[in-house]
Amino acid sequence: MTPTGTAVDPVAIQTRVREVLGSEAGMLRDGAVVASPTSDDEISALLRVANESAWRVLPSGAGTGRDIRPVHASRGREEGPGATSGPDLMISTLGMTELLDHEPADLTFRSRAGLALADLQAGVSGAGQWLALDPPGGGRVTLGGIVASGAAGPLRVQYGRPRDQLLGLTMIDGAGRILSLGGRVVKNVAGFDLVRLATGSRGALGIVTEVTFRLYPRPEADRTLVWSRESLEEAWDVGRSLAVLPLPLASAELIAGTWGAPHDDVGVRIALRMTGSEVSVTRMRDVLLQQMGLPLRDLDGADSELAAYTLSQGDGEGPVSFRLQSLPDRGRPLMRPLSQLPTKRLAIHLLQGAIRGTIMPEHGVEVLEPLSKEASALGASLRVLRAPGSVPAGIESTSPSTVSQRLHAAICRGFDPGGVLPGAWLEGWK
Amino acid sequence: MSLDQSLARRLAAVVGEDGILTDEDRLLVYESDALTQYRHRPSAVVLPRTTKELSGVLRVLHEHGRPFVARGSGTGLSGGALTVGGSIAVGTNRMNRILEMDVANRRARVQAGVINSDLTRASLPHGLIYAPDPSSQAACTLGGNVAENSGGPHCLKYGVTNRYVTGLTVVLPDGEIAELGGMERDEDGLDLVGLFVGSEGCFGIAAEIEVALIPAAEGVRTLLGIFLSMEDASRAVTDIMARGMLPAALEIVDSETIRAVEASIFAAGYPTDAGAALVVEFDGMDAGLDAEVAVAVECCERAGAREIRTASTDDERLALWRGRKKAFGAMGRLAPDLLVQDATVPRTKLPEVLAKVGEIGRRHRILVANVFHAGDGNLHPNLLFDRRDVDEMHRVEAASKEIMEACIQAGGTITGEHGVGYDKRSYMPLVCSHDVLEAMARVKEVFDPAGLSNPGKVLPDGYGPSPRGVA
Repeated sequence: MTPTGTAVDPVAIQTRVREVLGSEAGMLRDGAVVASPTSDDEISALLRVANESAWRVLPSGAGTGRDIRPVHASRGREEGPGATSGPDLMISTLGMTELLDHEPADLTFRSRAGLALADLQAGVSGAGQWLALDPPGGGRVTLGGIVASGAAGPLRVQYGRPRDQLLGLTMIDGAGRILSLGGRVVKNVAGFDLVRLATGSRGALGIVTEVTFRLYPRPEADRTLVWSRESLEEAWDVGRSLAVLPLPLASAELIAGTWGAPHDDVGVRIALRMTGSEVSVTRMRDVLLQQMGLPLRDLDGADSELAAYTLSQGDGEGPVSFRLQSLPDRGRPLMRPLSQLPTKRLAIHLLQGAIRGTIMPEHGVEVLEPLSKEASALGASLRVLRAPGSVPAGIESTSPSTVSQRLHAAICRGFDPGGVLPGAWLEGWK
Repeated sequence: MSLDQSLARRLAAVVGEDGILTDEDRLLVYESDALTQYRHRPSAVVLPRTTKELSGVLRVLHEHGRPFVARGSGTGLSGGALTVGGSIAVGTNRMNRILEMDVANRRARVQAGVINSDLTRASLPHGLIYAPDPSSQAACTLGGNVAENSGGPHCLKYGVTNRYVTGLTVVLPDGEIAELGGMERDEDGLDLVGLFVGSEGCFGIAAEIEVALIPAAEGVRTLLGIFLSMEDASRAVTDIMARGMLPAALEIVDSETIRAVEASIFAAGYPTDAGAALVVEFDGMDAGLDAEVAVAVECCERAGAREIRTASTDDERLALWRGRKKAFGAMGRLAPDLLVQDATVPRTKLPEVLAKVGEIGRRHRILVANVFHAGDGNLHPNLLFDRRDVDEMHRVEAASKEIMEACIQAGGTITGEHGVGYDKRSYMPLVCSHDVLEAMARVKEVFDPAGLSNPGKVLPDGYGPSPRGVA
């Protein structure tokens, strides 16, 4: 889209992309051009051209977060007749997948951003190490995607979130400037923390091309215990009482529903995971069994990890998904309205106060209205992650303050003065 | 530069007459932080008690175009609280209340002036602690910890301040109050909390801080290894990490430090002919700790430890830590002045960098005593000198610069936990490109377009807004 409102011809974009990347570059797909550059310089050049031509650019990894709304850029630009709402140019990181550096003795690694999490884990497991993250999207998510979304999984209880494990990154900003932020060391306070700012910025500030993360030694023991209860309310009461025991748990979750089955068929699972030395994990297990009796499932090692992955993918597939946030101990009153929703999958992170759910496909986003009312009354915030169309006003209860909006807008402008990056996801805020 | 009458009156209207200090005598203690070779007396010190008062103060200062510098307990080691250019010091010590202790959610909300160790003391009866434990924790404030993104020995296992700050009430430089983050809010949007932590007072002042608390570990075991050399001690550390262990702390002090401590009132019973001492601590489920200690003992023995002491009571544990914790305090015995460096290098590079530090110290004829967080490669070479000896000062500056360059060449950074402040601005271009410095300057300008919040810190000259409207 040019500022005058005329749609830019994808073929013209492809021609310009080929001038930068070579004659085979840039595929046409769904009205956009998809390019897979292999270097920072190439991405920088593409972004500079994008600025000259006022293109809408969308960074892309594995595509696991693509439909989390909103993702296209429309900040401050005229929408003319025939305007499309998608990107003009998608810049994929999948051409940059190298593991550049793995220092087992330092417990750090550096890689290009297109490397998938599962591939990274395979690459470092030989040294008995792992990246202790389990983000939504699982092993397919790219490391760049993990940084861009900043999203954490259940393991954050013990190991922290992506932002807590990221040591440095390279990001090409909207103007094509190549920014090398942070470093290779686990403690670094040299200057303002642009690494934290970039994490979770979802492409609004730049395209992440390279990352340095800290690793952890693979724990000697990894155990997941699962119990089940009939109702969400009962599961919540039991789950919370276990989660707040003074045990160094790795994660504490409630899960309802499995792929393709409505949740009331299988009851509600309470899943606690613990990692550490064999002796410590056994001791924790003993404490829990004493409190709860025998579990439904008692998994260790690779089974524990697989169970944790299967159970944790609460984002799930489905046209409508949402996230609810409250203080961890305030969630009880939300259990009743949640039970009444036609949910396909529900995951409650007992120590974070975060709830993620997917609605059964035959229902639309308006089915969230009662939940939204209850959430507002409790001071909890509801956010719609995926929805097929626009979301009716009043369903989402998050609204940032004016000061927050002002800071966001000004920071984004600094990194993306030409408005080519998908900063509009912040425009979803009223 | 003194305070003009109208400004003094307006500030007094906000904080009360007793909330402003203008007497030369009372201003003396505010002229430096713990980096004592830099001294600048502030024009005045203002001491608000609440977020509202702080907001009023910054609004007044903004209207008068007057730069300000936030100050907690003044324990900073990079001159971050230095009131250059006629700045007014805004002290947070009267904002010292714990506002909320929310045990069920493992969360606390505190005013910026709450002392770090006071927070843990208040949390312990509930079985909780506040994890980041900088060495100055008996004096430093949470606000200061936020400004510097402080670490401490236990950040090896538990992480730094940034991991535990979940929300902030910030007063922006124009007096506007901004609520950032918050445990009950959705984590969508830019991570402004993460950006603010470590911003060294350059983006405004955090008035209230929401932090995550963690359960206190069921058990803890500490051991002290005495080695003939730093190389041996470092080898033990490498071995312990290679065995896949995650100790709660791994700290080394060298022979110079040991001798200084043992000759002081802090004497801890470390043998004065030791080459190095290593403190190792494990915490977690009590049942698993003895096995971990056994592995660590084995690693120390294999590295040639001369002696290994283990602690089984709280008192014994404190005794083992004493030599490490009192290290800075004891340096005064060796020389009247101290320059503490804070470079961090990849852990595997520690032995070579330490050797280089030793060589640099010897070549410049400067006494260097090393204390460091061995587990995360964060070294603190203490350069000892007498600043009345001008030649020695020059040699210290030269040695300091060489040490910094050696650390960067080894893949490290210029500061692991003390911050850039005033002291390390000139080194920033060694680790940040021009584009990155400009990006940082642009972000600074978003928060502080008038350039009044802690000017002259972090960014080198030429980057970022300079204070306007100051005579």
